[in-house]
Amino acid sequence: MDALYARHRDSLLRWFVRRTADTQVALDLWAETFAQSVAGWRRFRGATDDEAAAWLYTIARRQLARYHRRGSAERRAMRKLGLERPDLDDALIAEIERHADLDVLRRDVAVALATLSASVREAVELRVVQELDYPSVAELLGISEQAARTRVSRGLLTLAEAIDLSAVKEALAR
Amino acid sequence: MTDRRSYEEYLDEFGERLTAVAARRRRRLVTRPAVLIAIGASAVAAATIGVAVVPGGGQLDPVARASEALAPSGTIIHMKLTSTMVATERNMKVPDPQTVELWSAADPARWRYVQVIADDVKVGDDEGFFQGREEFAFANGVQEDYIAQRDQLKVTTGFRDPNASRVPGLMPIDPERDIRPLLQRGELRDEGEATVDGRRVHRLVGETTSENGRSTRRVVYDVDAETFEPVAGELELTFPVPRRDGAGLAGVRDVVAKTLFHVDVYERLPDDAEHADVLRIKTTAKTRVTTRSVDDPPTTSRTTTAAP
Repeated sequence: MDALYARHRDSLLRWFVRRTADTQVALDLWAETFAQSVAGWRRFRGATDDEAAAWLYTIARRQLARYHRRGSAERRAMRKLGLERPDLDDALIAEIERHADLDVLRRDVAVALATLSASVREAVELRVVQELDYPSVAELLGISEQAARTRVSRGLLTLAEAIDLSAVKEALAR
Repeated sequence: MTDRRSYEEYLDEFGERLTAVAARRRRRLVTRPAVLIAIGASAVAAATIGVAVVPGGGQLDPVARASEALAPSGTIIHMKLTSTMVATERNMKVPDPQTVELWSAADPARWRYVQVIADDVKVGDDEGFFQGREEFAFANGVQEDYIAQRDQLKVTTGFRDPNASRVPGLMPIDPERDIRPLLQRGELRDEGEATVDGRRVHRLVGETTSENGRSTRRVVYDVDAETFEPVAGELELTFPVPRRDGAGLAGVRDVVAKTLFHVDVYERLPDDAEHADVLRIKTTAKTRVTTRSVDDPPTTSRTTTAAP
């Protein structure tokens, strides 16, 4: 398990950050993916490096698909194992985003937003470009937090190819 | 106040927690022998972007000269830029053109950025939407954000890396922030001369293709053919989006999103005491100042009265 984590901790986190455009959500999904890999390692039947990597990313894609359906990250395995991810500050969030080149991604989102409907565009812009939290987005738009999450999730899904979220459709197709 | 951790330390810390819970779990699973999962180097590809760069040979010089023209090098670079989003689809509603003005200096890094938020653009924070003039500035590890409508100055202290302070501005792409790194990394090629607004320019172009090859990001940057100063440019994204009909998902179609920018003003000012004010935001005794550190938890802030 240590080797699995050591090999994929960085690439998997960048994978999630670029597919959610939301570092906090990406960290939740990343932590839950590794938690599920610990909880489910007995079911892993592969023997090769490639099979192990494919197994880990299968868990990751499933987490991502659930997030895009529900608008929130699952924490089932984290709770089951009593595992928490460490807290982090703004400076560290900025560092993670630099690793994932998220700044360029945000610029692309700003340009691609014109292709969305007004209500979805506003939600995505407030959350992804202006980086407000979901309660603030909901309050500004006069909608519930869940509705705000749904609009952002739908918007990102529509922009999936523009902002390198290709795995979203792949995951939803499963 | 949170202890400052690096990215690697953060990943190490979570790894240690993961190892601990995995060990606890192994101890409970006494009926099974431990299994070592061997992982090789062939990880699934991360979401990195492949950049198409055509070697230019002798054409590299315009790229180097264009990069130099954006480097402050002992001066303050002052630019005024207008960006225009292009309606590339029927019924696509694009915002009015946006104008921003920026000043930047190096050694040490300092900058100021002024934008005017148009009526049809929504910008907000946890206190609500605002419009009109907004300014950002950075110097000595401190970033400031001034909202004129509220006469409010938000101060964030403790930036150790100047690049960590971000400008969440309206300009989707600008030469100083976005194109200079592309030039420095050699990701733009010289496509020869063209004419823009009657001005002879060198056209520098770079394309990026996503890993699945289905979407592209194209940057065009025009520089004066003699001075290599910035003149204009564009960012164009082409990507497939889901196409729906009454029965649900009905395949995908390509959509183009495009924004243009024009450099209205470009000048170099002396980086001296006389011009120091162009890098500072002007406030008054009545300005409401909110200060926080980058090390504070995101929700922590305190409000004080501004110094004149």
